[in-house]
Amino acid sequence: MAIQKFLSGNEAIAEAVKLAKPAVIAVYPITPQTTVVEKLADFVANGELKTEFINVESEHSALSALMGASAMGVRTFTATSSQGLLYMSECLHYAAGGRFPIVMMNANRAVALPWNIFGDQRDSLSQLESGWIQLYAENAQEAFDLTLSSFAIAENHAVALPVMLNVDGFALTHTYEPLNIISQEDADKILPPFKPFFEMNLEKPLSLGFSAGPRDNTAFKQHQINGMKAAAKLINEKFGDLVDAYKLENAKYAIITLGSISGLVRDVIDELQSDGVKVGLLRLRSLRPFPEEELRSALANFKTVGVLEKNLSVGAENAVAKEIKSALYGLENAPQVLAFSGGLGGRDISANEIKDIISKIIGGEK
Amino acid sequence: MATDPNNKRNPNRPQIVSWNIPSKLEDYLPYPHAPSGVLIEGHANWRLEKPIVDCVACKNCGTCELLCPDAAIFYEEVASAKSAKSIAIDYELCKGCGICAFECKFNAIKMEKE
Repeated sequence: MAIQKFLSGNEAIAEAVKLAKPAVIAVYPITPQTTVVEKLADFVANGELKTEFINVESEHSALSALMGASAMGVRTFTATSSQGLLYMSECLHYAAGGRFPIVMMNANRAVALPWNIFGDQRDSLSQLESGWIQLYAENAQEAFDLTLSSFAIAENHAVALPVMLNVDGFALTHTYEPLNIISQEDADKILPPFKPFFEMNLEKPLSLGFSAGPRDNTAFKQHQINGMKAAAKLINEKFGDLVDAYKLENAKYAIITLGSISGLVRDVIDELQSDGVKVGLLRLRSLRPFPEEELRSALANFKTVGVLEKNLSVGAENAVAKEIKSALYGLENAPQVLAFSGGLGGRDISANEIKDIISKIIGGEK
Repeated sequence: MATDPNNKRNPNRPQIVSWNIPSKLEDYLPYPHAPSGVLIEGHANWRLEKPIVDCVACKNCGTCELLCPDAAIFYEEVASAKSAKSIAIDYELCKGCGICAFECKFNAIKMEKE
């Protein structure tokens, strides 16, 4: 049975983590993720959550501590944002290569310089090649649901990869919504007890993270690729698909988004479709695994698609747009792909700006 | 992985194990973590010089054991003297860096060309 609560995105994630009962949480506070840490610390202080809560001295240490804890066979959680995520960058590759099923919430925030604490997606998008599964939530309810799903995906033995759950800073982390919070009993059905992918204990010590030279290194990477493929299958089967299509059926044009801006785009599409404009929305829920097949089949007969990301690739086409273009390459009459940057440093994207983008996608045609 | 039958190493030291190079992906571990206390290969062939301990000059202070970056120096029981221990070097682990010889206060370790 679910109960209704009025919570912010950060509080929703903390509630979900409480239901997941990780044995170790190592975390360093950073705006706009801080209230996740505060809420979890409250749960520990008042006895609602029994966990080893490590107040580490940095994000690099947070992830390092969790790799050790995960190796010893327990569920682990951390959360970060922006500069903190970048400070972990070395450990991100470590955790994925080491097949540690750690779950991390990342509050999407701009990166310095100029200094900025507001929401955009440049932090996580700069870490696409770290080997982590990257999911993007549209609202607080999805952030809550995906938190529990993230543990189930990471800990599946065919996957055995860490998951980064991305939520837009402030737009999601600090905005309050009425939410359905499922019971502990239902959460336990989604998320069975942790079963380690490899076993290490005092009787069975391991040499963690051995070196693999030129002859053997590729084999370990191939295993990671297989884990990512298993994640794609698992998400599509059990956790709500890699992509979320909205009113695409009769559309010739599409706007592609990730994260919270999708809500406003839906409203604009509703308005434009009632005026007869043939535009739909495709929201990416996952960037790793990348939904290549899904994009090819969803967009096969489209004329033009526009990719709106809170991101900027200086000196090249934006990262997500480039990947969409790559996914559609070779399709007969492949749609033209246009790249749009928006929301940098937390700048608001208005409904009128979305209409402008759509009219550019359509190129004046109605 | 199986322990090498020709291995005549001190049983208290990491054992060299024979390892067949996998010919297909499935034979590789899916994670880069292996049982500890084994050596897939030694490092003896990395060395240009090897440390030699002068047991008369050595005061058993343990500085070299502490500072060896490869844990190649250890205490070994002396067969002729009950409960006595002396410094020994595991030449399968030693890479010949010479830190032990540099740090020794009694000049009890000399580096010799291989």
